[in-house]
Amino acid sequence: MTGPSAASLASTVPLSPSRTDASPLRALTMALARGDDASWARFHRDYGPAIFRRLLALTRGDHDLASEALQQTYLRIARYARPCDSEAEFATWLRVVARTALSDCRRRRQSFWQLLRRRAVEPDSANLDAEDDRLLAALDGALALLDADDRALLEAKYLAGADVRSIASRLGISAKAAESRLTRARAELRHRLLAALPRHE
Amino acid sequence: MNNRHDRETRLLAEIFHGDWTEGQTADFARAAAAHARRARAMRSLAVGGAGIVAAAAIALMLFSATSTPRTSVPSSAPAAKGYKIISDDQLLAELRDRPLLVVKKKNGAREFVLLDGE
Repeated sequence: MTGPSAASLASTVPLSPSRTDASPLRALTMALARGDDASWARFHRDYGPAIFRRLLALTRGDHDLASEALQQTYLRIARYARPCDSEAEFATWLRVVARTALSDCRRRRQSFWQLLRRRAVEPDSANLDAEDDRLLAALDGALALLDADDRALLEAKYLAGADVRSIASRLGISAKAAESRLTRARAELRHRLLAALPRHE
Repeated sequence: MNNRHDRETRLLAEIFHGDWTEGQTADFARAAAAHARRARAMRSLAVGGAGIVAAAAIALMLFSATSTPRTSVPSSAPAAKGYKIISDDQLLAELRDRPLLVVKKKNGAREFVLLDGE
């Protein structure tokens, strides 16, 4: 599988099957249906973050619910995965599976009246893109509020794509120390992001 | 742009879950893989079971078709009788110049046997 095309999950994808990358995707989807561990690890690495981001947008930042729905999404994919050649069709299918898994998680968690109240305010597919943009804007805002060192660290790792070892050598610290600083920086960013997001309950 | 999008997506994922590839969420993928294997095994079992049941049903049908005696005959065909009523003259004509054995049975009845192989 080439790039994860993470953004494709969150954005509108044209439903025109592209057969250029047919074979690797078919191999991946077949392996997912078989329950191949390595393929699932690859799927998790390449597609998981985008599914999680979409769920986070759908839940307006309720990361617990988004995580629960992510797990349910994986289980449904495991149950219903079939060989597929088209990235666009696969991405569309993943979006549908994630959304229905989220609906079921909500149903389990909430009473009928809570469900009705939520349905009145939950983003529909038309303004989900706006919700997603809001999420990314909140992330950018939270990053801007971070301490300069923490921000530089996170930007180096996630936006510039540097690995922990090279970051550590640039800072003159051990890889373990760099990892600890990254963990603290992520926690701080999470705190600021949740403060910036509208309350989900 | 997409590249930045992907990296921000990864950052978002790791903000909430730590190391995405090896951390807690990797268990989701492992659980899903195990689930897929179980579902596959159950499907195979179900298909195999259905095949066995179908084969047994066909075998049963074939067996019953071959072992059951045919008792029904077309209703339009009259049942063939095992005997024919003839007159005395016809009987004498049949037996004329042919060896005949008369066997007396224990119950007193007599049986006539033609000895010329007819």
